[in-house]
Amino acid sequence: MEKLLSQEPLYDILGVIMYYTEEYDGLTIFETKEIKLKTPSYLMLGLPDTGLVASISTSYIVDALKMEEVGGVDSYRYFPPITVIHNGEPKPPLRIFHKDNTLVMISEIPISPAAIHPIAFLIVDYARKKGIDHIVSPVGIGVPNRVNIEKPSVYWTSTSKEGEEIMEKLGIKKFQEGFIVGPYAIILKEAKRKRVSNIVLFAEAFVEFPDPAAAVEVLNVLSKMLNVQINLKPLLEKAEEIRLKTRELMLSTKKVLDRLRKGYERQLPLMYV
Amino acid sequence: MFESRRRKRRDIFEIIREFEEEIEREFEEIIDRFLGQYEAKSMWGSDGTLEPLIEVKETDNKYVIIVDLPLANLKTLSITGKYNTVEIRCQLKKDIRLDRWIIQRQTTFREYRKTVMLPEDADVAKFQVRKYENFSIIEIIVPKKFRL
Repeated sequence: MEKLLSQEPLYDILGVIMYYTEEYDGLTIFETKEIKLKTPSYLMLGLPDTGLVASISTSYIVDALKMEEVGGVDSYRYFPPITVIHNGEPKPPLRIFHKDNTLVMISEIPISPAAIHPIAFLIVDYARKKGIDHIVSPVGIGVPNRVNIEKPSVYWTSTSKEGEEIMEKLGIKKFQEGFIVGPYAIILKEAKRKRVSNIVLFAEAFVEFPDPAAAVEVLNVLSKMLNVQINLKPLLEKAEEIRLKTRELMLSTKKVLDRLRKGYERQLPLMYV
Repeated sequence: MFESRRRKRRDIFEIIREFEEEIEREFEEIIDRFLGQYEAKSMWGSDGTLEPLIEVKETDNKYVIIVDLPLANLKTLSITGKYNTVEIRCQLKKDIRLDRWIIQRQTTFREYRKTVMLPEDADVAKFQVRKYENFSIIEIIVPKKFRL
């Protein structure tokens, strides 16, 4: 594993200040601004998954809290050869945002199976080095009868006692039995192994369609967890427009999820028998 | 006797189809391993049509096409079943323009359009529609043809 750590600000080829850069098994993580995290600190993940719950909820938090872009993750090995342009500026496919005690990582593209393990390891390692108190993974859990559910339920699991205490105070049910498949599954296992706190929020969601209503339920929990007011009215009002505009991301995410045998999530684990 | 022969033929076709799907999956996995990416597809037509997300499920006696139609006016929904295809059209509640997206900046999107091809045993003339208006989702239930 190849690593390059820097304590002093560096400059990249375009003269942009890099406060931190690290190469990790074909991936490069970098910070373009100095990050001073308040405590307790959270790293929220917005990697595309079932119902795009994580993508929609974390993008909304970034906008609602007016978070500042402070870095990103890129890879010539694992990501397609693309540059995302936002407000006229080139951006990496995976971006990092910061405000107060919260970092958010959002990916514009689904994480391909080959990239899942290195990205999961990178995220847990980065969280450990930054002294993050809790990695928060908002995960959509596909339910086949979603059209009959008006208000999706949210469940949780955690790798730490501290995480459990936070969630128990919020009065949400614990996720008792089931499989998780995909990047969040590897992050959860790796966090447990490295003794990093990972709180996973599971929201009932459509498997094949974007689900902003499930994202709203996750945001309700996140606002209590972060102790910040998040006005969810605009998200509810724009829910249909978001579904329309995220069709392509959902389609490519669904292809990846199918490849990962996401059907496992609807199976009953052996120990429950 | 005829039935068992027909069933046998069908089974062979199913095996071939599964084999083809498996080869396709393996091939995609190899490409993914080397390139680490997936084929991306645009769902915005320059003629102002949008392709909706769909999911096709199969049971013993029917096919169910689930169609996500956000911002659609379901009163304008039109479904046509012909041969073994189902054509879905539905107008949007309002026009959509994305002027900052230079690729489609001059296009006004007004309608969803999608043609779904089903296997030969789909009796597309006898489809039924179930609407979930609060989600803007519809289900098109297509029975399978009765087998002798």
